Amino acid sequence: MGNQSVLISIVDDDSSVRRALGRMISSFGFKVELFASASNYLDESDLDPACLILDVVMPDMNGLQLLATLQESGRSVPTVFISAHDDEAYMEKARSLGAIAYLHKPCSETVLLDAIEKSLVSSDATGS
Amino acid sequence: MLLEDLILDIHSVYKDLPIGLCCLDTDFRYIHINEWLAKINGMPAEDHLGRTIGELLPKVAAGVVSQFRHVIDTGEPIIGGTVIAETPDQPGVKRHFEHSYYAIKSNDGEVIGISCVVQDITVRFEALEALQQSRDELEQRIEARTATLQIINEKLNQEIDQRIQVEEALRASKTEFASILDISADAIISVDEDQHIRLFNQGAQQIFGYKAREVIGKPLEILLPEQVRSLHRKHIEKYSQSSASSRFMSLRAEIMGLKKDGTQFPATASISRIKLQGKTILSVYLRDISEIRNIEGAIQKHREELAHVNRIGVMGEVSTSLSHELNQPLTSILFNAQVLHRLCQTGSPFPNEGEEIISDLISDAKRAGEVIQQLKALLKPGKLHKETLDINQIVVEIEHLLRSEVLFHQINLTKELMTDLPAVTGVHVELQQVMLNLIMNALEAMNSVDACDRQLLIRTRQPTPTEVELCVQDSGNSLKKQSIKQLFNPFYTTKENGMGMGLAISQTIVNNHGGRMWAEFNKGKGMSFFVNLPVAGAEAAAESSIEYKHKNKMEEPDKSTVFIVDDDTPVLKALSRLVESAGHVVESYTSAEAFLQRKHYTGYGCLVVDLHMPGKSGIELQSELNNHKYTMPVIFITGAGDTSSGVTAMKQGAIDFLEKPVDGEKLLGLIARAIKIDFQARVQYEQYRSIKEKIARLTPREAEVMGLVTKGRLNKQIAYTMGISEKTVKVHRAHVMQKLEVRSLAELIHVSGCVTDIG
Repeated sequence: MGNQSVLISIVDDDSSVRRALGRMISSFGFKVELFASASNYLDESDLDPACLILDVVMPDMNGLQLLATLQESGRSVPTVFISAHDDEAYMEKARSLGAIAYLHKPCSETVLLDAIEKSLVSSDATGS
Repeated sequence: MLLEDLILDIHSVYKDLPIGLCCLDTDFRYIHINEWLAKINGMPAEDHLGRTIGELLPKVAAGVVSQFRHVIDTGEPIIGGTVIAETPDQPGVKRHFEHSYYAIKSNDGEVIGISCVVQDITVRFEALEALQQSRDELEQRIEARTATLQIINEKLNQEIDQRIQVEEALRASKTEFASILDISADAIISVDEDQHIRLFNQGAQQIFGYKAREVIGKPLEILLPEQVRSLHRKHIEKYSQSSASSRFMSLRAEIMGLKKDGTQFPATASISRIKLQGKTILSVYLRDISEIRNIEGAIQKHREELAHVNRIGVMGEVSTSLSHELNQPLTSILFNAQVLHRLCQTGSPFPNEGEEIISDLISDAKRAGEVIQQLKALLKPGKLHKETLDINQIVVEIEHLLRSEVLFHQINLTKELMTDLPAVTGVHVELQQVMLNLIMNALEAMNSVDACDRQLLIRTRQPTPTEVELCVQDSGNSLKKQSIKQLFNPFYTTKENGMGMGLAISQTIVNNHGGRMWAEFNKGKGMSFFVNLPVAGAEAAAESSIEYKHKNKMEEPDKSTVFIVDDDTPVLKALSRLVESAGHVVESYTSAEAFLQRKHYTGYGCLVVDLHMPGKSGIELQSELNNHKYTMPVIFITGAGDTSSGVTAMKQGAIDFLEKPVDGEKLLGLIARAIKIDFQARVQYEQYRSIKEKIARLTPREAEVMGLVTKGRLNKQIAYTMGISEKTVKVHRAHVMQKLEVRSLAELIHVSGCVTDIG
């Protein structure tokens, strides 16, 4: 399944969800980095992950704004949004930003894994 | 026989008699005269003889000659004539004489002379005159007396007329009174000193279902439910015998009445005491308030329903938040469980990683549970009970609930919460609702503003020692044209799907909590909404409208004891330790009976008691304590979900009740509040007691004056009512002020009001 050389980064302000997500993705066999906020990610991530898993609604900068910022600065990576909100506007914005998927919390590990695999495929395709 | 001889014989007999005798012949010559008459004439007797009366007494002769002639001619006597004359032997004295003239006849019947008899009747005359005078005087007096009597008689008649008028008026007013008594749909019952019914008007008959004759003479208590009879009887006895003689004292109470058919009904009763001819009569005025209660009940129910609808409506608006709040923990749970599952299948995850995962599972499940609890509480219709609340905490709760909303709408939320904000008493769910309404409104208002300009400020502070203030300030586009008053009108809304009830309901909730809510336009953009609530325990103080400077400063007591009664020993131990750790002196008992054995505690404190215990229950203990004049505040601990007992407890005057398992912090907060209340109540009670003592020192007249003064009567009116002079009224009034140690009318009214309140 996973490859320890593949890095997946997670940004979510809810500590419990962050931990659980981290465990889940580790258990898939991937390398994981956890960030508590968008600015945290922007400041401290050195390596670009193969896939970015972003919570949408966060204080200061939300997930969509983060992706937009990354794209502007050329640090864009395949992104999977995972959100407790199923707001149409958000989903639309995510689509326009080219997100791989917009998942609704709670979701099962299968759905998450699918989305991650799609991201990896796309990143492979773009050769990053 | 010769005339001379005859006469001599006769005259020798009459010589010494005080009577005048003389004889004259037919020529009117004195033949004989006795000493007495001679003296009268002023000449010796011998000088008279042979001379005529004309010669000797010309004046007298003039008067008598014709009479003499008559006697001589007719032979008939002339008897009883009178003459008034002055005589020489008593010059200057008018004397009255009575004279009679007789004819002296010879044997042949021929008149040969005249015999005169003269008597001095001056004394007799004077006596007659005096008699006449006194008769005249008597008649005058009688006339005068008669006149007086007539006047008196007239006056009496007038009085009788007046009396008749008064009696008629009295009769008329009695009739009027009787008809008022009867027209009144409320019960008017009068009882004598032994609390036996003497008067039972139509209204009473209607209400209670008894005919008057069925209850006259019976004790008043037959109109009350059995279990409260002795309590009321004692209360009334005490009131009826209380020493202050003022008529205006009265008792007011809300009671349950007992009808003839055995049903009970809520009523308000007031008792007045009248002293009539040395006897005390109590007059009870009672009104059946079942109707009002029903309406009140309906209103309360309506209010709860409306609030419920509003809550649901508001909750609908925060569904985003809710789903978010639930989804987060569920996400964690699902992921964690799935990882654990896989780990279990491929190998053992324990001890470390498994432990961590399970720990997270538990806390996330709890978190989800709490969200559901919150939701349940907000959505549940029904009974709302009051408790001690921290506004700051509610702000945090609502902030948490609305976290996603706030983020979603990209609001910049700032909190300025005052530290150590005093607690308020209120319904938790309702205050949350108010805050929800305010914040959601603020969010709405800022939707049309640029995201970077959405500032929401929530501030709490304590503007005065007895008030807590919450402010929700937004930077939205509020149409300044609209009036602030309009905002609070029901059905006023700018939302497309809004009902417009939010602010109106919120204001009602705040008002019902004894507070007030208002709004202001900010200097810059947006509006600020303020909610002002009384600090817990300050609600009673806020109600008194006259300021009375307390002679003792309201301080915190330093010595206070908390009594804990619970049959469950481990719980008792745990509670004792908790309360001791907060610095209180604790006395613990395993039963109500054991607590009651303790000798009477006179310091400050409060009682924490379990509702359900074998033997005497907590409620029974509370009832027993209530029978004493004053008791300490009670906090009840009830079993989980046992709200109805808690409500009963509250009705009987408990401070509050906590459900098991007991929240330690809450309990300590309640205890602190209870002790403060106890202290303040005791200080107030002391003041009331000293006021009562001072009033007891008034004389009956002074008390009467005080009663009328506090009713607003002028000195003149009081003087008239009491039948004394205005000056006396002023003197009494000055004494009253002096004895009660008050300096103004307002203070006097307050003092007298204090006493009637506690009865």
